[in-house]
Amino acid sequence: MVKGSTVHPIRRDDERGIFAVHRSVYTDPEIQAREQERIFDRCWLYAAHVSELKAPGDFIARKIANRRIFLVRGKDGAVRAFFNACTHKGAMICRENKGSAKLFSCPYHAWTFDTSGTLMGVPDSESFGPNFEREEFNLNPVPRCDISHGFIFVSFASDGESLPEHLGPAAECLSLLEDNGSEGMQVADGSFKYSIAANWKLLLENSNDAYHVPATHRRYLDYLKEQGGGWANPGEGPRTTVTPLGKGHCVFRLHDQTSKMTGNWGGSMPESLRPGMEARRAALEARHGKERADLMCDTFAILQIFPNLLILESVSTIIRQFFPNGVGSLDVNSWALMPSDLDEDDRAYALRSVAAFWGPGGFGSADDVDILESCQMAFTNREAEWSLVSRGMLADRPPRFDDDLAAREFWKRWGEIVAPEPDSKSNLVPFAARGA
Amino acid sequence: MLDQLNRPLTQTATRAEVEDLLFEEAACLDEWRLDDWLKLLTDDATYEIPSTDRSQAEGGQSLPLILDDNRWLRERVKQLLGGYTWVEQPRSRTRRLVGNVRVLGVEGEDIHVQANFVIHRLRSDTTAVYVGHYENVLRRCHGVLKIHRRRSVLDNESLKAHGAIAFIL
Repeated sequence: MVKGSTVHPIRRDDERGIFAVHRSVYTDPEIQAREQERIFDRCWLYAAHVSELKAPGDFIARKIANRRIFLVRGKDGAVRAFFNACTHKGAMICRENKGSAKLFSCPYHAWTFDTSGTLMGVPDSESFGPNFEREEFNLNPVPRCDISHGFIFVSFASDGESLPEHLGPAAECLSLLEDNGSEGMQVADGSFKYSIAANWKLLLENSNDAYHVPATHRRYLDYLKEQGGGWANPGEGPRTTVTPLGKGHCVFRLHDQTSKMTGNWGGSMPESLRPGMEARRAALEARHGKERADLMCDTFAILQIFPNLLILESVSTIIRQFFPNGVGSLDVNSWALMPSDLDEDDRAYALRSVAAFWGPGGFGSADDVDILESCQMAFTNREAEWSLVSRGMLADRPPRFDDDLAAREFWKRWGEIVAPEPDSKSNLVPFAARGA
Repeated sequence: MLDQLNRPLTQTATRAEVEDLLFEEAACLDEWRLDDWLKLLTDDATYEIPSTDRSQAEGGQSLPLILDDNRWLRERVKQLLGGYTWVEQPRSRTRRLVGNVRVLGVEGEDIHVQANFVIHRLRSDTTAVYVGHYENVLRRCHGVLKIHRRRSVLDNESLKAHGAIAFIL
């Protein structure tokens, strides 16, 4: 499977606790092409949040898996996704990234479509001849578009598993996120748009890996320590649970947290935020019961949804999505998600806290960018072949958030889709035998 | 607000005086003299970079790239000068051109200033260009002109060519 050899890109020996990935998965254009075809052209992919399309006519244009699409809420209230290309000559008919419109008029020849994609106007349509049927030229819909608890997903394959089948128990995690706001959740204005000169899977692994935090983010942990928080070494840090959700999805939860916009006042939050925070918690308890309210308010969940979506909770929540842009580069889009009933001060605090760590200008993500780029640069060392993903495999304890369990869940699913197991197990040379 | 700002300029600051401050600031930042840079700021200075989306939302109501209060601003400098800010370890080379300096007007003790910037950042054999303008508020402290509010507004539509904003922009 590895180019020029018969070695499978994933080596796994459950008895010896070995799980390793061949670094060609980050550099080989053939593997990249297979990922595009089997993952990004087929899988359900996050596209937007319903709060970005509040009223009929609201639209957003997005680049998803190298397609230019736009999503629009129709007069009937339904959210639809279309390819952003006029059915006449292909010009993009939606030219703003977001806005509101009753009609979309193509700037090229003025073909005009309504919010349900129906072709409404064709100048001088008679000249197309007697066999021209206008209804054959309605906008091309993205083959599938479905919503789970406010999160809109699309798939470019017209067949395959449904969104609920794809998400499985991960849908319950989205439901929990949706319930964080008594009056719903809202994606804030503004987003992070940045790129990393690294293979997309490196950011996936980085986003669910707490083992790197004490080293990579030492400067931030030092700062937290000065504020009376943080931790210093792997194995320390908050009590955690890690739950694989099947199909490459995984969630880990940091328990006993002390400040979260959902309804947990504490940490270094100003006193002025306290009444609102306590009121939100009371409302959540009344509505969902104490146990569910506690889960929403006192834990930070890191939710990984295959293939390219991470929803990362801390004081506030960030939706992080990324796509490959060539084998050695990835494009990130991130949005802040918060209860829609936050007042102005709460919202400002939430947005600041998101930017402080998770953003490209923050105290955390900027260093991740640098480290991932250094990995990609070093992958030109083709003789250094394997990366290790085995942490916690044989540990005689429950999985921890600084294990590699979430990454292994990803790699197992990736392997099923992109690089099915070879017929013979003879290729699975134990990791320790390499180069020996 | 612009109507207020368009009132006749008082004697609070001349353009030459403002240019001296902004050019000295640029030198401090390019030469990594960040402690000297802090001395050009008021004790309660803030530092903001809005997202590249150019959201129309009012201040604090859209996701910022950076929104440092004074404590975070000083923490940022401390971390940049420390040894564990990997994205600037080794440090990048930067060169900034600051121009088109305008004193827009005075509101109480606030002197509103705009200037354009082009900043090149060079590191690991790549060059990234940050283009935009400053919307600064200056104040006079014991007669000395200082930066009270620093807002760097990027014209870049995204950070696709940059990856991060690692240094002081």
